[in-house]
Amino acid sequence: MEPETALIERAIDGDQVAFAALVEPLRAPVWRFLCRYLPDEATAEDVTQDTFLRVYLRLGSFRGRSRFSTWVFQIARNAAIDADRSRRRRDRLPGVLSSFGPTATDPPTGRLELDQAIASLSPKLRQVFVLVEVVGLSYRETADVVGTPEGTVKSRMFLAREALTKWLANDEM
Amino acid sequence: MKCEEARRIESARLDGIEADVADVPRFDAHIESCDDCLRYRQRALLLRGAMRAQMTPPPPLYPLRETSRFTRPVRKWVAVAAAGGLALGWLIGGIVPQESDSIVAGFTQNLAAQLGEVEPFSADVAVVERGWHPDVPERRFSGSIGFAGPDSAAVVLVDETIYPSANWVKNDVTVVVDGAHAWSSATRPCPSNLLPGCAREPLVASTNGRSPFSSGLLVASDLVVSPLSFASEEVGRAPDNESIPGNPLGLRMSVAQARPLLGAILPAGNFRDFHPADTVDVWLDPMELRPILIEVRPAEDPARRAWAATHGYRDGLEVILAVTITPRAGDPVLPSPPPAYDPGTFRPTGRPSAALAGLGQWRQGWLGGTLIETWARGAAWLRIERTATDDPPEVEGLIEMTIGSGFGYFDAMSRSVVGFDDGHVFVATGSLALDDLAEALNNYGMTGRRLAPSSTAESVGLRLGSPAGFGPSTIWGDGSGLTEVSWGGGDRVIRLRQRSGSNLPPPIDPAATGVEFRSTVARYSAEAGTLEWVEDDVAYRLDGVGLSLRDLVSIGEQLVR
Repeated sequence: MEPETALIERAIDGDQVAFAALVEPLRAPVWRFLCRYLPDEATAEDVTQDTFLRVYLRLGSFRGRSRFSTWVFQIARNAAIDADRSRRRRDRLPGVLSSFGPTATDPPTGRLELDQAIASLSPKLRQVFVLVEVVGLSYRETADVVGTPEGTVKSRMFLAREALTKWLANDEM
Repeated sequence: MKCEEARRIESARLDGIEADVADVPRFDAHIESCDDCLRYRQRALLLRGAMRAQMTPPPPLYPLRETSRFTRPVRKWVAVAAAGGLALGWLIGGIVPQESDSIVAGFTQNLAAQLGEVEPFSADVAVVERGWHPDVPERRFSGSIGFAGPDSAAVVLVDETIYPSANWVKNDVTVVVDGAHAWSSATRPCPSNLLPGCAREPLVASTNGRSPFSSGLLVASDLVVSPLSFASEEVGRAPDNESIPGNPLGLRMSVAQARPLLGAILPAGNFRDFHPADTVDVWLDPMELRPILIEVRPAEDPARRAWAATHGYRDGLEVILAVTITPRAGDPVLPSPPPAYDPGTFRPTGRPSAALAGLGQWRQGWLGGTLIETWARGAAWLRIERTATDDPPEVEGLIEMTIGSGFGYFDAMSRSVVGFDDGHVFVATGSLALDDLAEALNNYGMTGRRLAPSSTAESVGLRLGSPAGFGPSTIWGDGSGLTEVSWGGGDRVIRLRQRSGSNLPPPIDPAATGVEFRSTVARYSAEAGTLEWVEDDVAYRLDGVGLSLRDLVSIGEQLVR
């Protein structure tokens, strides 16, 4: 397989096949992160597109100081924060049918309520929790993405789990 | 050691960070004697399972990996369409495949007529997969599949492959949906270049609170009739295959078209991927409406080879997936469930529902504050949701329709009909044609109010005009551009998006190809089902539901200013 640095150089030169090869392995992880971090799949879809557009446009600024995947996740995180701030009312049936999408898509794990529980976490906890638990990044990698010390990631993971396991405990009652 | 300290250590351990050596004995002693901390561990693991459970596949340039048709909401659309909506709508709407030969057309008509008459069915299944990994050129699986009812089915695959070493994980798969119960056990998908190091343990998920006709794991009818795969003008005739006894009907389609069928046969686990243009030949028992043999062959073109290179596949010309399905006597027997179920979200009720739309009462209950009632027969189904609220739904982008003496709104994206009546929002989905969904809401008792959209679009470039077979369109702005949607016979949908700019987004689909179009070259992605081009400093994207490339080009050439 072609080295990542060679692909990056070719992509910067406008080789779109190289760009596709570069981002293809990250498409699913970025999608999983955004799906869980953002309130709905429609927003996640838009931000996924936005993320890779930003990656494409900024490829020339990648200096190789971190892993390429870490850099992409940093961009995805920033795009998600931007979307959160400026998000318009996207749901066709706001509030009332916030369950509408998930009801037909819910896998057998209480996805609807789980999504609501995750959404109730603060953005800082949510980011870390999703990056570690869903995407599978290590504490070190997550720390690089969110720009905090590794110990902070560990602490935030604990706090997020505290909140969510309490939610699970309540749900069992 | 106090509980909080133990939980902090446990949390980090779950993420691969071991406790300090000095803390381990105290931690172990605490955990063994503390029920609360044991429950914490169980809940944290439960949470992990839920978080990593099946998710909608990632979008390509714009999504719809499975259907290659539409963008969102992906799962919902797949669920509705795959359970029969497209097939029924296509045929009830009078759109019969134009280029398919009479045998294929006759089959699809037969399929629509018999959708409600599908019988339970069980079979042995054998799978041969080639090219999954360079070190494992061929894998073999044996198992069983079963369709037990409208919302009950199972797939079991046992990996019989002999791997190079013990580092490779067997790709055993069990997926069962059975009304409120559902469970699965499978390894997670893993990129070829990370094998054999990843996907170490099978992921087990289960629930006893599955809502009716949820598509999270498996759409039962896809195992048998897979309407979305078969009812399309893209379907052609496969070569005769004398190795199959009886008189099977051979159909040829693309992987993009056959995604629902392939997704049902391989519903989870770590299998290789296929290019949307790869050829799928399916030989079916036309009377029993079930596949006998499925073969996937690589498409032969440079774009496909580029795609294979990015995925690490070294495909030649041979069959890369062969699935043989041999029916067996007796009713399907669903595998035994795991010992414990996750808490569910759907709360069944005993509220009786009358027969509706020619379907019998199915399951009903509450999901949060929404009452869900369902009806089914064979593989046909209907689901109505009712939520009490004083806030009417937004109808921006929805298509107004008359329902009885009132009004409703068709959401082409989710193929649902929405209405608001006296403090309730109603949503109808199912395998019925659009008019039948509306009629079902009428018979259910909804008298929908007329609602005003909250925004309108003012200036536009190209418009859809009036393509043959399609009705009036609706158009709206979303801050970044304009979207126009029109729907037509057979539940087909056209969507035209436009935004200012002289560049297209970069192609994430490496298989995208150029198509001469409107005196320029447009980009076509078979995987996303989109046609994109720039004209007069406006970037356009045309896609839809039930539309082939030929349809997109034809519609696109008729756009008006």
